[in-house]
Amino acid sequence: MKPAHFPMPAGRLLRFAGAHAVLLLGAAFMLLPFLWMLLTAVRAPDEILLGGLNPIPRSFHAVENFSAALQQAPLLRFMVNGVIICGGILIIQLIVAIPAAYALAKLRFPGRGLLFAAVIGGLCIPIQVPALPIYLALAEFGLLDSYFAMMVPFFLSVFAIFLFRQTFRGFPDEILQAARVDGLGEFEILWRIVVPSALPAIAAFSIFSIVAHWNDLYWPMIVIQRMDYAPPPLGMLFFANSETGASYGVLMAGATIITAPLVLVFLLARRRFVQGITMTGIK
Amino acid sequence: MEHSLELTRISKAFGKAGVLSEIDLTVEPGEFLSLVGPSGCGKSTLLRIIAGLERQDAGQVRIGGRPVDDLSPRARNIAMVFQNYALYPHMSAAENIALPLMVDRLSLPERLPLIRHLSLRRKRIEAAISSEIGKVAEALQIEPLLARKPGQLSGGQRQRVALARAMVRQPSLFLMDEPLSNLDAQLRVHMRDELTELHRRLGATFIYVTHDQIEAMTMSTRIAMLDGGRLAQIGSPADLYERPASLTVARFIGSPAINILPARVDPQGHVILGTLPTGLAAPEGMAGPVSLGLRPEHIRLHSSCDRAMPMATLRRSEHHGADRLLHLDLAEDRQTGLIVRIPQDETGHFQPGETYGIGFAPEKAHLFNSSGQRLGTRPLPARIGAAA
Ligand SMILES: Nc1ncnc2c1ncn2[C@@H]1O[C@H](COP(=O)(O)OP(=O)(O)OP(=O)(O)O)[C@@H](O)[C@H]1O
Ligand SMILES: [Mg+2]
Repeated sequence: MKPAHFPMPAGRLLRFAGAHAVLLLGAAFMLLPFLWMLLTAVRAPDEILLGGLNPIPRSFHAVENFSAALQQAPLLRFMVNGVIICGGILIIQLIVAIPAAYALAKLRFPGRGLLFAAVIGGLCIPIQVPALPIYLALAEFGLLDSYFAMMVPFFLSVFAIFLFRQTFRGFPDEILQAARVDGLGEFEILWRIVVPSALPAIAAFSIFSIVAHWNDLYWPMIVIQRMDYAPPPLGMLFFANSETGASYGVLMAGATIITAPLVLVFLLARRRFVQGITMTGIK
Repeated sequence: MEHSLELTRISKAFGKAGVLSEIDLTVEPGEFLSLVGPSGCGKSTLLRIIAGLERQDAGQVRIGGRPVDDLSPRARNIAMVFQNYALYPHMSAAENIALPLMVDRLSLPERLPLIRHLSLRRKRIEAAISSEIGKVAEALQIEPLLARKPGQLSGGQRQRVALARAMVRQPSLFLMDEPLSNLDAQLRVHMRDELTELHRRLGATFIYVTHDQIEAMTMSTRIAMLDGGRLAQIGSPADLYERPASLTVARFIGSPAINILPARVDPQGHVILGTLPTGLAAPEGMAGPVSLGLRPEHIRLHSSCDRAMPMATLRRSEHHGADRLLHLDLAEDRQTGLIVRIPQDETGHFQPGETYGIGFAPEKAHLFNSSGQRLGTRPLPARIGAAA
């Protein structure tokens, strides 16, 4: 038997089509640069400069471009740097933010309201504001040009504290009380009981954090001079200036290679990510 | 294993709002004490203070004769069962039940991920724990459920897992905060029996919070009723039913609820209902408005009466199995409703719209002053309006 088919009323159909048209337009707008990057990465050099806006490549030059990118620039090195920096930042962010958020959400102590107000205030301050003092401090201690210099401003994420605090607040107090009666200490309650229930939110934040720091150019550019420490975007910048000059095909092949891990991470964690930002508790 | 519990002058306020004031309570070893009272009167707060989850502002808690005010919940060796079961959501039933034992018997490093695998005695302890879980699970008939997560269990099954988690430590004191209130009526009756049976078998001391007076009446050795942060009365179920210390207690205990009729005491000390004397006298020197409490089963209806009696009109009659409930309106003021319970097989012709005379035995009546406190009564020699 065929499933019954209900025709949509004309009004709803129109709204449905309208909404999707807007979404498609937005998606196209955001995806077009990526598409162009991919197309450029597989074209021959002359075609890039002369081919105009024709989307279909006439000759495939992918192998040449990608192998040139891998040979001319230490892309692997940049990506390893990226992994070290993103991983280091994320781990410390979680270690700091999770207990802080738990205390703000579930423990009663004097000054809690004030501290939370400070967290909210911290959300409004961009990295550019404390950049100079941090730079001076790092220079004073001779810490410029290191992984540490690239990670240190981001160890404390007020956004993470805020997000986790909202998530933990929805966690039933009764379960925490049961755990206290069962003899668990607050830290053990946190990692045994609360954190496993907040995994979607933690995954969502991890993606935000990794994407932001993988793609960050501003701060590495300030504190890094030596190519050995460069994360992918800064590496690409060095690479574009020095070696390749106007060889856009190779440049875009490099860009494709360093963007790929992010897209992969997102696709793998997509479901959790969406859960994490739509959900603020369990029950 | 069972322990006594003594509370002396426990007070607690949240901010400016006083919740508990000067609660004195002694619970004997092995007792099943129900803590009842209207919503928001501080039952859960008192339970949390006993458990050590909340700190009292003043007063002392002693368990087994020992002051425990400075002890953590764990060191008090109590078990608590919560209204919403409070099972750990991502752990299986078996892991839920095992957790308190793991905490008791394994050191902190032995419970940490990765490091715990280095411990040699961990395996042996875990084997002992799982055999104990088996025993408890058997007693509560949840063996087939042990591998499931709480989300995959029904309300009654979760309740049982929560009970198992409480029992497995063999605590000296069981605290239960409305453990049955989320179950459907049938399961509630069933679990009521199981809890009573469990109490008999374990012989442990139970403190049981409920706002269901039937649970309190049927399960407890004694009932303590809280009202407005004070202990209104404590006594056996029969005490509270037969000699309620205040209007609140009288209204709370008993189903259907007690009939409360506005009455007054005349200068001679006679209790007057409407315009008619009731055959009761108030204590010496008492005059003014009072409330007369009559349990539904203590009222007799008279269809033919020539004596002066308060009259009431039958509104409707309800069939309740063995009993019949008659809803009447008192004739003097049509405001006051009256419920009378009679056995189903009692002969008599009860027709809605008919008017009946109201009679009761004076010794069964309860009298409360205008602030709701119980008054002593004296039956008068001349029993007007009273036909036993
Ligand atoms: N953590 C808290 N902060 C502030 N007020 C509280 C807190 N816990 C309880 N209260 C207040 O204390 C009073 C007693 O609460 P409690 O939970 O003990 O009532 P209860 O008798 O258990 O009621 P119920 O039958 O509805 O469970 C309530 O008025 C409540 O609002
Ligand atoms: Mg409560």
